[in-house]
Amino acid sequence: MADPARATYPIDGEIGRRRASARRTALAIGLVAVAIYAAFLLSGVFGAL
Amino acid sequence: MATHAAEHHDDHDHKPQGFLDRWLFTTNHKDIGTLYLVFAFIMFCIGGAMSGVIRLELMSPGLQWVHPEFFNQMTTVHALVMIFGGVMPAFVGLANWMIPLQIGAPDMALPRMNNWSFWILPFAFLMLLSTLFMDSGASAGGWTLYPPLSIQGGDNVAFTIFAIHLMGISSIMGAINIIATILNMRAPKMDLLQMPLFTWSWLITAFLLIAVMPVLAGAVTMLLTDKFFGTSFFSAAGGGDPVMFQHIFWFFGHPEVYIMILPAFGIVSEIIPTFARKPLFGYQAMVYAVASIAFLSFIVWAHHMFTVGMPLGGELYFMYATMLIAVPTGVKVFNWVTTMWRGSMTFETPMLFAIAFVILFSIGGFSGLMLAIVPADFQYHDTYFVVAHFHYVLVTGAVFGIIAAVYYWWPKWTGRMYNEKLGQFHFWWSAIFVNLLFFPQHFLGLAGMPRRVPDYNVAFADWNYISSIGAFGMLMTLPLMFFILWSSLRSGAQAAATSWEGAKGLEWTVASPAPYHTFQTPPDIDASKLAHGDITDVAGDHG
Repeated sequence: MADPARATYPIDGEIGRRRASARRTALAIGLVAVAIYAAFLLSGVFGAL
Repeated sequence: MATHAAEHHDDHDHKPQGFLDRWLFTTNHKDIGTLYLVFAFIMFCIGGAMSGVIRLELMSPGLQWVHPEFFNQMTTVHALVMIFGGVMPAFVGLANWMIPLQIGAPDMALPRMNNWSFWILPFAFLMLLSTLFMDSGASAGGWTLYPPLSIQGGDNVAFTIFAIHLMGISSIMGAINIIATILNMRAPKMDLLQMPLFTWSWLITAFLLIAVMPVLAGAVTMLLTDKFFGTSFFSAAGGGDPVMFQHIFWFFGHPEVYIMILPAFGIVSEIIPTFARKPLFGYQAMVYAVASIAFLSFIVWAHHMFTVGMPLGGELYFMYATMLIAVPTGVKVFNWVTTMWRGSMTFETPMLFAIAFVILFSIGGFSGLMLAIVPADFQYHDTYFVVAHFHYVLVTGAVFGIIAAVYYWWPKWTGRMYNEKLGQFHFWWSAIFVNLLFFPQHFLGLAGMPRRVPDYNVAFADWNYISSIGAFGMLMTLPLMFFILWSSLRSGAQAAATSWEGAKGLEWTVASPAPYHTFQTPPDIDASKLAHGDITDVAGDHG
């Protein structure tokens, strides 16, 4: 069973902290996606030179 | 695991009251999940209608109903609609509904981006479908968009490519949200290896999406510039290489196949333990098998293009690497069977679809192994054998998985049970007609009938006729399923919080229908009440 002391988190506290962390995760993954897109386009450009 | 059903019965839902506020501006994961699922159903109907045109034309040899050019538009747009409009949004809808409930999160991590991810899709498909009404018609070069054929169209090329970009952006944002949610929003003590298999399979699927959707976007961007801006990425006349497009496309396309099947693996891994009333056998092996399949999906792409010409060493490598996928897939199939072994099984509709998934998806897997054999593939390539193979994977695999999931979680979503007899009728009708539809296509392919043709030799007439009968039977399942779910909403029996006797997991601890807001206080996690049992104890037993 979970520690009862951890069983309740205030919305603005724990959840807010988690959402901030999630935004950082999302930004990092989004940058990876953009990098892959750019890499494939650039590979096409340099391959065509 | 505390039962949250009671505390949520008295919740005030605080749903937005206006129609637009509720559905257009919603940031609620359940509403967005519903939107995705309704959208996917509409797309299944549109794509299904196109398959009806295809099978009507192919019902007998000769040109009967449609112009060959329109037939090619149907095959192309049918695939794009079913893949990007039907299967993928349906799985994202299921993810939206179930992942926060399964991990004890109050919502998705990025609710406004979640809304945006969905509302991009209707515009993408309006653009794609609008090309059917253009003078040039819709794209007709196949969903693989191989140049130079794909860019010989008119305005439809730009519309189709822009629509694909929008679908890709939607998928990437959805995947980002799912990863961010699973990694950051799990309830305390819900460790990664405590998560239900559906959530696990979606975490891995989301990483696949992040890795390959930008590759598709890059490929179609280069097509766009070849068509409209004078570049020659894929034009041999300008020094480019059309085969390079095939490599890039299938570097996206093969993982895409697993994007459409891994969430179904997760669904089946939820349903079988419930109706076998046993913990999932080999939970950790199942997780690692999904991860292995995802990894292998990146290194086998050229098995789609053996006949294009490549060095013998390359062909051998791609053949053996492809066959390797059978190992983790076999682990999964054997673990599902072992979960059922000596279980107290009952055969409600979700279980029937899940068992059919295991059997029929395996048939699709076996024909995939046949296609992986290089010398044999030279015979099978671009024949109806390939069409039979991928429809077994995608219809009796992915779509049966989606149908199983809808029946399984419907009581949780709506608070209503469906009519079990009608559900079972839906299953048996589907099981008969889907095999009538696709199994004869193996014979047609082995006999040499090419795919993407509106006319054929009379030698292929009989099996085509039978296949078309199967198609019309399968099309009937769309209104049938709609009727079953509609009548459930109107007069279905009230569902309990734990709607299935053997169901385990956090989603079954909240009331049915699930309240508008759930898990605003985190649940207690009791590993023994998760679908895979207490893995710590199991490890201890053998340790």
